[in-house]
Amino acid sequence: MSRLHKVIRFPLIYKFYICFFVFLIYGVYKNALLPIHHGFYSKNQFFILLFYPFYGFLIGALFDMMSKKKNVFGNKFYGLLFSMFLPISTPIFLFCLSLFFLLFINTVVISRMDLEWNFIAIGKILLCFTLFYYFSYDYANALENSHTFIYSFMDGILGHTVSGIFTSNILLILLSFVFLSFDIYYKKEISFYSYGFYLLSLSLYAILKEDISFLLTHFLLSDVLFALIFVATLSCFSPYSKKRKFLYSTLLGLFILPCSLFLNFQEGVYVAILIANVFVLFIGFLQRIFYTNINKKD
Amino acid sequence: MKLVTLDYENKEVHEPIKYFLDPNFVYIPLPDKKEKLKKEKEIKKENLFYDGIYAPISGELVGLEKCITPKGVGINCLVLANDFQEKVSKTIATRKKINSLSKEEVLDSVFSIALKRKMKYQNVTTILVSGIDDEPYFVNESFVQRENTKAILETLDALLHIYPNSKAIIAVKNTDISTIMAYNSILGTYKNIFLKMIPNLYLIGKEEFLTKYTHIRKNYLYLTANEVYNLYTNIKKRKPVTEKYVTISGNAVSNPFVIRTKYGVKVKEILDRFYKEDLAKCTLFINGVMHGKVMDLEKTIVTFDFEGIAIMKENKQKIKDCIKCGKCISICPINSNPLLSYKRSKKVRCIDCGLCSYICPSYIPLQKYLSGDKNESIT
Repeated sequence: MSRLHKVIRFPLIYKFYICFFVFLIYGVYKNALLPIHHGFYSKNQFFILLFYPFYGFLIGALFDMMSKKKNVFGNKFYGLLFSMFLPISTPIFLFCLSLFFLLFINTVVISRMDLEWNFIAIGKILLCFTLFYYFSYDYANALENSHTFIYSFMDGILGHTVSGIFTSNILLILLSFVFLSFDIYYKKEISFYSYGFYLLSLSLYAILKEDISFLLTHFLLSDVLFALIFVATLSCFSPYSKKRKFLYSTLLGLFILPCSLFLNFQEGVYVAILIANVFVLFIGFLQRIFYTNINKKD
Repeated sequence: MKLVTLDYENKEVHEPIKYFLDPNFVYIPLPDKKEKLKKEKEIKKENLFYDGIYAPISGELVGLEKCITPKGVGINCLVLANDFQEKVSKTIATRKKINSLSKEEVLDSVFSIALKRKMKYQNVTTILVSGIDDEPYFVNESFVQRENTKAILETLDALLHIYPNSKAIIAVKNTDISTIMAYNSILGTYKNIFLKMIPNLYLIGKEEFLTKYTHIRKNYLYLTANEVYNLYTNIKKRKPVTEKYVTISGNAVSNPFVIRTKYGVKVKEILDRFYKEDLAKCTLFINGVMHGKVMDLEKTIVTFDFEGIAIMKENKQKIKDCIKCGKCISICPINSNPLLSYKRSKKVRCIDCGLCSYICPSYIPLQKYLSGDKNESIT
């Protein structure tokens, strides 16, 4: 069709790729070059680390080629996103297997049946449980485990924090949020509201517990921020109406802390995304039944 | 009120107005009520142009043909072959002054427009004139105002005499410099007629949005500049309206232009005579790219609701799957949910503005789903 369309000079997907590229560079520096320099890893670590996003993108592109449904956010985007926040101890074979399985489910079931399940969050939780029970589960690299350095708060802001492979730099994550917020198709309200509610719950908890240091140490966590900015706002799996966006963000923000206290902050936020996702879908389901019954009565 | 400015490569019309007042054939739609056609060779001296049907040209009836109106409705038309003998009766004199006419005489003409819009035309305190072209690329209203500034102001003055203690507001886009200049040179001589600059927002010229923007809620009479000019033709020249301003523009047109043509002319005939560029790899939208339609040019005729043709280059963007960004919902000026129509084939309220299709990042033609026209043909 040749109707008048809005001129999208630089699509949102490319903005995401730019953010990922910057994270990738910093992740390689922090988790490969720096430990190699200090003699904690061999030079192979550089290639091992780059393998995760490379495989994610490649297998995603393969699934995209096979998929009949063409989406702006294709499997290669999801593959790349999934490789960003994993624990550094994730074995390559497990990553490859889990990603293949996830993208297969997305192509065959979720995308085809037009479901709104956030399969990235599901995948992350399942993978981390598998790692926790059957393999080594660790977000810190060898340099961090050696306790050679003691990181300050500013170090954390600038990226020296125990976090997912490519998601440790809080400053870069915040800058990428600002960058993405200029795009009208990015659901920035979700990140904004959910972080607000997370901060609220965190403050209340700190006041009740009379422990302000808890608030100060947890209000800027790279994993939480990354999940809120990149995973919770995934266009296909998050609500689109104003009211539901607000409901989703509220639930998400309020559930982060309880889930994180129960598990840990790296996985808790993904469980919260899942809970909010399921709850909003359930509300939508009830609403549909309600309106169908009203229409039948009419 | 949430309206947006459309982002497109606008093309200014620099060409002088063209005239197509001598078509070989005109096609006169037959009304459902099977009213008799007044087929006088001379234009009749009657003061109505809505109830009666007038032949736009002088000629012989040669047959009956099925044509399509710009709204896509098939209609039987009488085919009138032009004998090029058209002339205005000498017995009908053009009035020198129209602001001294009786109330009934002017209201008769106003009534015909009010009837079309189902609006009240009594107890009017504000006459709101929309001189705004909403459809991208089209400049009909702008051209009508530029060409007939005096006539429009004179008619408004006459209307103000009928509605005592009222004022007239002419709404013009603040980007339409030529029209503003045209008004500014003579507007000072008319008391109670004001020019209002309106921001360049899509749909702002529509009654619903213009009244909201100007905060005029009741006792108003909404007219377009073209309608005011029609009133002038009707009142002052005492003849029915048989001509129409039509824009030929679009991103495939190198030199857009405006034509003044007769009602009932086939669109194909206009294009054949005036448009010499290649139409291959172009899509032609009757009545504009935003809320127009792709139709059979051979059968489409110029009627009172015909605005022009948007000739657009073929777009190579492929339609992708919906990513549920919700922009179609947030941009909808009447707060409808186009996704309900697209995903669940539900009927939702639609004013056919095309904004949902415009904003969609997956290039889904949501407008088609809303109008139920999923198999829109492409010429």
